[in-house]
Amino acid sequence: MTILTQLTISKAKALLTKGEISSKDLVQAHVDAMELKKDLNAFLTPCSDDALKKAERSDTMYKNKTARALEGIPLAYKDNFCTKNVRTTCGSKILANFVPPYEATVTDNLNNQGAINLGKLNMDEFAMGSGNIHSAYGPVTNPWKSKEDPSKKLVPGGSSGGSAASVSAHITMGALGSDTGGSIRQPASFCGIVGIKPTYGLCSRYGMIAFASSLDQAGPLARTVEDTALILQHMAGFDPKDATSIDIKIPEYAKNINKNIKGLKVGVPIEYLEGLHPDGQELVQKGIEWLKAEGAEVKEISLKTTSLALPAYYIIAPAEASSNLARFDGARYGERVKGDSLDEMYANTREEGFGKEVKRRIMIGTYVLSAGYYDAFYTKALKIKHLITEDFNKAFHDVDVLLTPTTPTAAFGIDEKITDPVTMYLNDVYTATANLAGIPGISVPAGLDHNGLPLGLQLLGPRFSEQSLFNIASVIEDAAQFKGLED
Amino acid sequence: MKLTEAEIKRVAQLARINLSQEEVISHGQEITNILTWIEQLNDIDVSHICLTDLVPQETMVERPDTPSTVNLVDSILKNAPKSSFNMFSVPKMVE
Repeated sequence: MTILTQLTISKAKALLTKGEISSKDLVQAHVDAMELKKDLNAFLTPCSDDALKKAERSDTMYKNKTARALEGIPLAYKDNFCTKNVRTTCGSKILANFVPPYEATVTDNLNNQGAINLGKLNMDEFAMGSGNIHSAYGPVTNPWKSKEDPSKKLVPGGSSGGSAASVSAHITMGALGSDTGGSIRQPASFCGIVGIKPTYGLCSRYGMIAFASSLDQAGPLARTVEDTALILQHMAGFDPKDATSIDIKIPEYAKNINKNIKGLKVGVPIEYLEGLHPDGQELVQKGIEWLKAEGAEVKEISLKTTSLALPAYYIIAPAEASSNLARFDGARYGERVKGDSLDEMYANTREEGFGKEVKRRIMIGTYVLSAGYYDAFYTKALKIKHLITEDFNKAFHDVDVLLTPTTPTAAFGIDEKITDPVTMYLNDVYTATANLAGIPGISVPAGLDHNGLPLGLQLLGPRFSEQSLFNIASVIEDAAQFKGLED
Repeated sequence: MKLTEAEIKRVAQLARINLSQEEVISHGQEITNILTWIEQLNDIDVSHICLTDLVPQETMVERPDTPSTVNLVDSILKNAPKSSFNMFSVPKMVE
């Protein structure tokens, strides 16, 4: 008997086309899983009834032989994508009742290919966080358990924590996330699934609530490389509504996956291995062996600017956030807390509406942009960003892709209460570099740490090298034989 | 780099965020720690990089300047915390 929640998207699509399963049953199975695994707190706004109605329509499309590329496939969207007539909170109290009058381009693209939205996924407030512990609606729990203490609740990573947890727990077949400093790849690694941050500009940012506009990029998370490729090819594409969207033809990534990597030059940046936990070191070594066994040439390289990325990131991202989040003032949408004057209303609304991490980042951003500090901080950080991009460009003259760990460690406990923000920020040490350079990065599950928790390997490539990343990630996927969670 | 209480209050005021005295102290300490960590960038020489180097190399695609008429007033005002006469309503700004 086919267990519907265990299917991959490509397998489900084949069975739907042959009429061996129905979209209604497929969606129902995932709606049931959502209900059963409610304690993960992955969903903020379920859309079960609407999803089931759409599934019936999809079944008709299959009968009429008019099914589209993702017809009847249940996905779910991170709650920072505006969904027309469906509440979109961005994980914040300030948008508790916000119902967008328009649809984000990437979700629109997926819906137009027949994908069915199961609901809106929990996330760190305004995508600021690496553990999904900064959501106004409570933390998300990682479905994985550590061998040492199975009762301990673990973070799914962040900020796309709801996306990663729901895919890993077989509640949805794939999900949308967003990645500003690692928010797709880090949770994908923590939850043992695949996640890609595409090249900046490949996916439209229209309708994606902005955090740091020059770094934000939407991307998919799924349980296999092929499924991740399939979702990306249908969500990406030029959008005249986003001035930073790039007008290129999107390849059929999934169909074109080619596992022949003979002669491929892979670089391993030594800076990404310094001080890395032995579990991570071992995994990178395995990755090197797997790629060599398939004919790739692997060599160590140096990316000297690596240690500069996070400090630069924590200037640029908060600076852009302080500007982007100025719009949440209680005047036009979202929550409002009364005040006697307009200024008092703004300050009261933002005091009540924003959580601690968001307030902190807004204030850092306001500080580094303020008179007298702008050049010392912001201009300097932009110049460092330029150095980092040049460093990658130089590396890609020498090698085709880079192999790195995705995260310094596996998932940590929700109750570990990392009080020092800098310690928490270091979670993104291997991922933020790609956002600053605008290049794509994919995390593929490759093994377990000493506690039985998933660890991912990251591949970074030049701009628009998504197809290569999918090809190489497929080779790692085959070699690692990573066993995800059972349904 | 240690931020004084007065500086934290000034930043909070610029960002239009009310802070309790307790928050002024906790945010002050945390932001000071973050800025101290960021200060490692001071040692990096970037004098050879011009501001013009920072301009994105991609050509931004322009949209055709086509007029269109859409009436979204009702759907937009649905989200307004307070509205009157088809407009957003806010506290009085001028005396």
